[in-house]
Amino acid sequence: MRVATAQSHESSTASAIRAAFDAIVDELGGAPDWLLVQSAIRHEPEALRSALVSVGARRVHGASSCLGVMSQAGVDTAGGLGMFGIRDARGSFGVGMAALDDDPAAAAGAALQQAIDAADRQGELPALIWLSASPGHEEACIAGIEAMLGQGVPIVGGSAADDSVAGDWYLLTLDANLGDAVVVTALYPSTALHSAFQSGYAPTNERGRVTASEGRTLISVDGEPAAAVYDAWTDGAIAAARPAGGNILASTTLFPIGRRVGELAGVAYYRLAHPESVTPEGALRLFADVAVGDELVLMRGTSEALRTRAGRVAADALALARLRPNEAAGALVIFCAGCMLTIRDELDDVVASLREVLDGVPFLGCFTFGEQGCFVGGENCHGNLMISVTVFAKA
Amino acid sequence: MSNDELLRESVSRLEQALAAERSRRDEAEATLAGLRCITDAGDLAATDAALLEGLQPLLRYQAAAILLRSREDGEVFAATSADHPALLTLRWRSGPLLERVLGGQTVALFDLRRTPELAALAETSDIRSALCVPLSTSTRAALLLGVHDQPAFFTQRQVALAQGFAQTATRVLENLGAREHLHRRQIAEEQAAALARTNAALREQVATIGAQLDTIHAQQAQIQRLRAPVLQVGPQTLVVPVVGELDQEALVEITETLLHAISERRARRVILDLTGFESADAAIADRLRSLARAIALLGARCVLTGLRPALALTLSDSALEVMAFATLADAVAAIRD
Repeated sequence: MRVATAQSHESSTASAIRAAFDAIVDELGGAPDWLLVQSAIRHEPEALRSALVSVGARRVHGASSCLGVMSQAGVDTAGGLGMFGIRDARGSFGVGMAALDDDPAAAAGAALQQAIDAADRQGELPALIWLSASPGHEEACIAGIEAMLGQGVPIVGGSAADDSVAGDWYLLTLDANLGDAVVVTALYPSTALHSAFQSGYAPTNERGRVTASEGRTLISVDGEPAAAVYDAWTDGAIAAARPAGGNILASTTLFPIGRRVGELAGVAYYRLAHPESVTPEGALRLFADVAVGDELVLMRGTSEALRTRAGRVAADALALARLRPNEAAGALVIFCAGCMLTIRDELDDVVASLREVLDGVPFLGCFTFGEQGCFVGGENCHGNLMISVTVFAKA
Repeated sequence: MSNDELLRESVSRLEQALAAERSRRDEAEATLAGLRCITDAGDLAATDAALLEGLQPLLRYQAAAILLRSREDGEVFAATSADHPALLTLRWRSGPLLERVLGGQTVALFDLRRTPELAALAETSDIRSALCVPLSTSTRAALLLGVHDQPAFFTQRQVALAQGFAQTATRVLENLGAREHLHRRQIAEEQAAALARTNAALREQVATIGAQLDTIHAQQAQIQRLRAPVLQVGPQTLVVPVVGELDQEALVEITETLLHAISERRARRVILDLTGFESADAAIADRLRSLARAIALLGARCVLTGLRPALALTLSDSALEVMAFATLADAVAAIRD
């Protein structure tokens, strides 16, 4: 198992793909058996796809990332792209993609079946599912995958993103690119891998129960308009936006809404929902589904924690894998785009924290509009403002 | 970061460490349980049954079997024993999946109907998912196949547990196999040594018996010589004093010895001295007649001496026409004259 990562800042998509792919091939000593491509939307998806075909890439899993990517070489939020390549002759990898249409669960199931067939491992449980989906239906996508595989496989990934939540995100494989789709890779590597998934926020004493909701729109909490309740909990974090409604991403990043997933040793752990906008009617729109009856907890974070958390999640992933950095082939980092935007000027600190922990291990990080991962207790979840680090062992 | 967040993170890290420790403990307990099955069982055949029972609580299969390479068809793996009828009749023909398992990879199958190599198992039974655990050693290709009627029953957690166990168990099975091989070799060597000892003893006995037979033969020859020695009393005259019984066997031996002597010594006369001969039945007359004829056929004359009255009477009734003298001395004297 060998891993290589590469970034390219070339303005031409074809040149950027060529430069990054050549670097990957040089590092791996041959074409990768699986290639993850994350790109800012500055690169058009069809141009990316055709460039990837022309360089001879195989088994490509592609998704857009907010503003850019980061790797051990540094962070790029100026519209670049990054690649993460695995060369593993004894492993198998397969990629599938399906349009979400009106049944995201079925689409995820279909993409999974394509991926397993492409890996030529029919009926075999993958070691990991890497998931990328358009924002909006990630829970259904996870449910669609679990309907086939059960809950015994970690599902990790991040939602496709654009630069301004304008719906310009995309997903791609070598066969097609789509704006509203799900891409699934079934990974059967020859070596072990482990993933850590954390929120990094602490619960406050502010709590309430959902009394009205529609999908990702939180209408009321304890019978009161959701925006009013949230504004009260946060001492007016969204007061300015409430009358006319609008985007509140930046002002809510440090105050997400948590829902209890489970507990270990009596201590609860949470998945987060990031309020992205407020409606003039007083509802909150989130990046994750909520349901009537859900118990909500206001979570609180700090920008200092956001700067250093990725390194600590990477340390947890290595510890879970029982690996020293020199035993790891590579790492994939999913970093919430909301968190990234909050500390955009301090992203070098994030990269530094990852470099310090991973100590020479190549990694690729992307900035997503929703994060999927597996908690310590084994639950696969979609959440917001989360960070995941997945490490691949060399042997 | 706030103290609260630091505290939560510390607690979270401790939780993760605790979960990891639990995981490691489960893995260690599973490995120990399986190893106990192996060591308690004693030999490979008993180990298979003990393993299936010992690993069930950990891997949670409903039924399981140890599959071994078929003796009839080397491309097929089959169960030697199983607690599910479909597993007993399973014939798993070699393919990429089986090769991966035999190569040391633990594999969970979430839906056998989608698995080409084992689809038939799902079609003919209620089995839907399976866990394949490699247990091959250098002398035996084997795997454990645990099954369940629920699709996607086995998880990556169980794969990790089984893989950890298999890596250790294979080494123990390797040692057990080597010990069994050594034990069998020691038994074979002991049996070979015992056989060699028995052969040596037999050879010794045969040699002794052979020597005894030689002695017996020598004694028999000596007895024969004593019973009917062939003596040369003149240039062309032989004397054979007949002692004891003249049964058929003795007659044959005397005849052979005598005829050989006649031929060798160019004798013209043979005196059969019957002084020490006591029998007088009709069969004796026939035998003496046969002997006399044989002597005549070589051109010699047969002369009888020392006839007892009863024998003389018996011979008188027969058609034996030979010269007879009262004593050997008389006969020798007459021949010289």
